[in-house]
Amino acid sequence: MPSRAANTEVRSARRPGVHAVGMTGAVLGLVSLVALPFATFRSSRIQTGDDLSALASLGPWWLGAIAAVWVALVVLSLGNDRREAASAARGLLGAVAPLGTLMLSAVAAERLLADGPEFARVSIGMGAWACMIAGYMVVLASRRELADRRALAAVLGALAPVGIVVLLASGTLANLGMLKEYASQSERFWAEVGAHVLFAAVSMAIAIVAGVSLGVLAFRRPPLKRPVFAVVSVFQTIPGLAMVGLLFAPLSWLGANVALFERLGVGGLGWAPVILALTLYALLAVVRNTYAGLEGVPPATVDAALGMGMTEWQVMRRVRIPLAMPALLGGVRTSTVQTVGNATLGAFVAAGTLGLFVFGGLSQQASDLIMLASLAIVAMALLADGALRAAQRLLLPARTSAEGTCDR
Amino acid sequence: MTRFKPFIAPVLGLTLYLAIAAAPAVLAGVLGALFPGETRVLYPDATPLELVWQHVRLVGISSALSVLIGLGMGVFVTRPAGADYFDVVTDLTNLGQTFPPVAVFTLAVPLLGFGLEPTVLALTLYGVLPVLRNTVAGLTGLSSEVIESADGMGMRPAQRLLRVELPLAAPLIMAGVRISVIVNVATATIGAVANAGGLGAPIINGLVNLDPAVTLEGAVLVAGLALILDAFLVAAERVWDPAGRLRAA
Repeated sequence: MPSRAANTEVRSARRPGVHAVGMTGAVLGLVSLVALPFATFRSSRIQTGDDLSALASLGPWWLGAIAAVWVALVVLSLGNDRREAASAARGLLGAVAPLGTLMLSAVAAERLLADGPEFARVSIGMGAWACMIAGYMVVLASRRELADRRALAAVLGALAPVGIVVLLASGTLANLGMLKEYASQSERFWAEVGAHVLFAAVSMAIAIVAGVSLGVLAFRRPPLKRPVFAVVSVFQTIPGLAMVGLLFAPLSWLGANVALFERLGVGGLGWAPVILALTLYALLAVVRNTYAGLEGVPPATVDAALGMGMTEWQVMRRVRIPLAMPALLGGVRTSTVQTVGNATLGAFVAAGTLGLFVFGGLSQQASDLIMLASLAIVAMALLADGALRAAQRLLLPARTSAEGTCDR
Repeated sequence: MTRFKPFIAPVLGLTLYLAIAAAPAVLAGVLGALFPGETRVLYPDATPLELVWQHVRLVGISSALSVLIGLGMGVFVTRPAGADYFDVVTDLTNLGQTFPPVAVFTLAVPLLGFGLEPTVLALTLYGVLPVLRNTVAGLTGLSSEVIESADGMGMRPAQRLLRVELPLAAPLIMAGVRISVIVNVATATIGAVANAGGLGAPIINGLVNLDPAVTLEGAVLVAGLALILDAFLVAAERVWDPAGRLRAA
């Protein structure tokens, strides 16, 4: 691995050439400012928008200010200086760039709305999004360079996300179209977030119980391994929307003809197809990782447990499953992230979820609404991923640190 | 010839699938028998074959682009020239894979617009990630002895890449391609909402109008397409596996 070798060379040193990632980020940022639309102006929420350049939306002074951040990054990236201070300074500029861009989007919105019609909307443009991504890329690079300084790296990494939350909470961004959408229907928004979380959580709970059981079954009864895996892979291969479609007729029939199901509200529409489709889709990763985890338990450990007089079942419960936990949780994490995305399908079967806003927005061509709901889904996926990572670390401190050191 | 034996089943499946899609009368007959009360049994705006073609075109173009970009970037960051980007590309792919594909698609629509081209672009964007990740994993996972012996044989870096590294990494890369294509088939189903056509259109149309037959038409056709494509790509992984033997040895 050539790259690893290069990166583990003496960290605190100047190297020949430019700092590639810093320079790429800065150039990308500057080019986006010049060549891509910074903001989009709509005379009402569902009009097609006019793209505005950074100069037109910000005016010369503000444009100069944000360009100065990128120019400073160019200067800092001219020498390939990997000493701590230089890495930290680049990371800081990288974090300031997306936050500054976001704040300037709000400034642009204020400027443009001042002399626009009453229901006008201003949205963040391609160029502004590109600037934010470019900035965060530089942050990621600095974090790696400062891997020895854990606290510093963590602060740099958290700066942009925490900053965004602060900006949102303080109302600085209230003029942006996305937040106007939110303000006009915040109650419904949170209700759908609740439905989204509930659907994802219930489906995951069922998928974990069923998936772990199937994984253990496949492990204990080798002839069943192939059929179990074949079936759960088919579930994951079939697109979620198709699964909902396939379940529509049978569930409608069950709801109409079986009294118990009718009373539970089972039908082709509603909660039943969503929970069922999400659960089936989530099985594969849980089953696969459970199986891999069980298989990865060292035979010597199992022998020792058997030697202590444990029964097969005790070995499974007290040795194999605990040792398989890291792999198992990894599977749960993969599935959860998928489930958070797929829960949007609820919108197609009258079950709500944030999908309602996303697809409602798509059919009305209301861009701000689509953006708001999509970003909320992304945020939920990132949060779920982060929480499960943290859980992995908390449950298995010794194990994770061992994993950390074998960074090939 | 035995080499191509894994392809027999998928080819038979595909033939059957196309025969069904090409015979709307048969499909309408079956759906009509299943749902006797329904007046509408087939999606009215396009024939099944047209829908399949729209879907395949959407997935085909975006997956081809995803593979080209993912493979290219994966090779680049594992060469000395691109080594500086290795970490950042790894971090960004890991982060990107936490984004739900549906959300990536729906985020792209307001920025890129409605219709076919933006949908292709959005699908491509997400599809790059699994290919890139597996290419990097495949190329960095090779043992240093293999690399050294290739160098010892006097291979130039480009030769070593084409004749040793990529063939050895091929099964892993193919696995990434498979994930990418299957995710694209699923996300393209949602593409109907952005006027990109495809097999999602009858599903959504049927669900909205409470037409079980129309929904089933789309659902069966897209599920079949996903399963057949998956079978083809699994077969390709098997055929393309000189490395499996080498690694096992």
